[in-house]
Amino acid sequence: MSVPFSISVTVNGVRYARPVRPNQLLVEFLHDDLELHGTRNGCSQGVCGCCTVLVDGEPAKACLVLAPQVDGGVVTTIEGLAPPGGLHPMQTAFVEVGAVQCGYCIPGMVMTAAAFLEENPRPTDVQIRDALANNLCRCTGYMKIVEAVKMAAAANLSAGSGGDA
Amino acid sequence: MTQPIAAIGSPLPRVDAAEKTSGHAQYVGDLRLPGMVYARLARSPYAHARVKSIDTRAAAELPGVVAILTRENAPALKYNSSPFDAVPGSRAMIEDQTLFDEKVRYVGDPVALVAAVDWETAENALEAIEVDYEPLPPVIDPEAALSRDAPLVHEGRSDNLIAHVKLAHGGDLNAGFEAADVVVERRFRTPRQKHVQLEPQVCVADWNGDRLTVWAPTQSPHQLRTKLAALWHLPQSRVRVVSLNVGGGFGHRVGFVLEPYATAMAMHLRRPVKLRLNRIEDFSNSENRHPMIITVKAGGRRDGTLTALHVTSILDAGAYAGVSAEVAHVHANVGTRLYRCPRRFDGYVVYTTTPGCGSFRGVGGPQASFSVEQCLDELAGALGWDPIEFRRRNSLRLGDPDPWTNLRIESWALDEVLDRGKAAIDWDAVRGPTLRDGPWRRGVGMAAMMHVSGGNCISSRRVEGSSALVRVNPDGTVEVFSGQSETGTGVATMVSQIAAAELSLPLDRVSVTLGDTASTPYDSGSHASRTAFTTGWAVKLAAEDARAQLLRVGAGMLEAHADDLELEAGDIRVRGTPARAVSLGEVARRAYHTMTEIVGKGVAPISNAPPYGAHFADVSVNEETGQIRINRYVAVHDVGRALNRSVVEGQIEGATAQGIGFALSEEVLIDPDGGSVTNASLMDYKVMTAADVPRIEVILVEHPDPHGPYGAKGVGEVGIIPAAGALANAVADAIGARVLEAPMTPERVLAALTETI
Repeated sequence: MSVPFSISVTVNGVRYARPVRPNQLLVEFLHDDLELHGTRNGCSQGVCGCCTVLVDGEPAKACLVLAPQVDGGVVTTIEGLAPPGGLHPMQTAFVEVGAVQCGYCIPGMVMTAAAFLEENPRPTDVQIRDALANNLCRCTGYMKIVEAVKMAAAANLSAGSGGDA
Repeated sequence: MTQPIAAIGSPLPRVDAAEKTSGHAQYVGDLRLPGMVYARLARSPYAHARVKSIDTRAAAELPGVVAILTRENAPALKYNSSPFDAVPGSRAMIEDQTLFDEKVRYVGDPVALVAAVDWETAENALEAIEVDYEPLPPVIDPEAALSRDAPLVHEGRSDNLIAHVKLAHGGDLNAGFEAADVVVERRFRTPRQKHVQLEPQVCVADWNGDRLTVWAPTQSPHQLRTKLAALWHLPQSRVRVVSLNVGGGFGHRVGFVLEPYATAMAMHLRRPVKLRLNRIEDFSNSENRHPMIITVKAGGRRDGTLTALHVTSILDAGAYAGVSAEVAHVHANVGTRLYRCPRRFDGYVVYTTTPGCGSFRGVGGPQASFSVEQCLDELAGALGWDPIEFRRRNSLRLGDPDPWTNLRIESWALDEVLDRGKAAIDWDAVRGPTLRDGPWRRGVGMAAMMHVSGGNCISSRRVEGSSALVRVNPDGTVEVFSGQSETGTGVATMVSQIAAAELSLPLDRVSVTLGDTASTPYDSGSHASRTAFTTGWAVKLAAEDARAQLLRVGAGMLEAHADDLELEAGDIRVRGTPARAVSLGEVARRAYHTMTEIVGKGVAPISNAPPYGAHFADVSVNEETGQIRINRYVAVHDVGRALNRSVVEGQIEGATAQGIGFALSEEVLIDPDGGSVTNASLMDYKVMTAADVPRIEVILVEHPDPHGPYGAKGVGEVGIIPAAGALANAVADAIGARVLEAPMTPERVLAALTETI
């Protein structure tokens, strides 16, 4: 029988103090306990990437993180990526290019892609594909997902937020 | 209005994309109902065993365990998982499944269902259940299963043969072989492929003593409702099925998945039950694509005529029959009917003690492409004919009868498909010369295909219907109701786009309700590439009906004849006198105030249309490592008319990626002795990632078919079918040897290379 203990964590800017089991996965804590349904479990093995969130600013697979590990930390989920009432430029790109089919992989894919573009604002096709290699999609064949990342990159650069090399 | 008027063909953004991208789209796994319990299945570790006894006492005593169902206390139901109602006299759907049988027939066959207050308690309870098994000899190999002394998978049958599916068309087969200058015969093997839809299987069921409600990621809400009502002897009016967003279907969710178990526990407890599979169970304990052993014999003359084609396939159906006999039928037709010559098919559908096989996008088509297209390719070469010209010369033509649907072929696109693909892949530059770069040998290959737009008119099926309602609200906005299910294929968008285009509205004035049997009219669901063709028709007709009703009301308001009115850009106006106009909203408001609601109804006509396609692959094969590298990949598809170009491309790109996986890397491996799945995880089952899939160049050809809405034809499956044939033929061109087993792993490529030395 698991004995719960309490963690204190900030998720999408909101502070929570909640009991968790020592072996409870972060994905279960986010999806079931906090009812932030955008972060989903696809495999429990850290391969599919559907559960990708940011933990202290870095992409992480929430099925490979135990809830107790984020005690005192900061988590961003897909619900926290966009400004209130709007869409993040990466989300806009995914919508406009037609990169969304069943949608199950999309939150994790968008989290990975958005974090990647912050690090590499001028990626090549090969770099984009490598960066997304840990987020599986079974519906799209990845073509339009790669296009969406390129579109978001171009939009960032023309908006001046990518900086000049 | 801020958005432009919707137009058919425009690559408008999907109506559900923003919701899915922001994480707010709802899936069944998100549901939490008051009083809900969490259920998990206990499963057999043996491929074949008698269940002598089950002791659940220790499990039941764990705090938080609410109920356990086993053979002792579960209802004795009999069912078949397939949603398709076979035509009487053809292949019966054998009802060989029950919840918990006295025997288990594959590693993972359920023996108990536990419901508890949370997932962890349910998992702990599974481990506390004690089962006494009497192991029986497993039968893993389908050819062994056919032998005279094979253990019987299902007692009461004389053998393990589910069905011998036979097809014969086009004349005297033997005469055809006798007339041949060259005969090629080859034996192929194709893998057990897993759908790997990213949303794991899940079901929520609730029985309140009067009504049964099931939330399931189903491709067929109305068919599922019909099956559940029959299963529990309930009136259909007391059964409701709701499909929310489905996180990938691909055939994995066309019929029963977890619903018999979830509903059994819900009825036992009179509480909502959520039952789910984890990913390992999805790999080990749910339906796969049928692995096949296919012998193809083809004969031809030096003048390029294909004179005879005989395909013999053994389909490993696994432990339960499901839809397997139907799969053989589809496999036979998809593989052979493009070609004009005496053709014969013999399919042996076999029980084995392995996880059951079922529908998977293409349904026997990828297996047919890998085998038949390779054999024809080899025959063409032996006759001195270019493979493209050989296909062209021997295929069906405009006006020919389609042997599968018995309709005449009224749209013909193969010539343009072949020409555009040949040019795009630069066929002549790569095909002729021997191209080498160190250990890499380069080649190009192709495969052709012809499919259907849904299951109507196919002799083995009953009618597959689609109906729709279009309601115009008092403010002039529109709601469409369709019993279809959104599995990511773009149904909601297509439905909105058609209704908006017909009613001359921008997309954001239309909303859609799908997949709830309580509020939508009947639709057979999402499979067999039927959605654009059949659901599209229903919505078009319903919108036209709504428009006619609007014009009648508008005629009264404008004191004109309805025939003189036109609907454009949200206004109804008298043709030729633009000043005499009323807005759609004013007309709708008038209709409601005079007690006339505007609701259009549409029922799709019963018909079919053939989509054509061909894939072309430029590959390099490393003769030292056996690796295959795809240099270029061109997918040419005749879609009749693309209702939304972006959605259509997305369907073809995704299907092609799955087809490439089938051809190069995906196979579920079963231990030949114990029968368990040995690579039951995403780490060991190789699904292509963004880094693996090549750039897929999609070329859309549009030869409208008179039977399709706006001329459109089926799109959903076409991309997956020719990939294996195209890649195998490209590999053969590169290395001068044929890989006869898919997936074409490096080991198998090297084996093929070694055999030619």
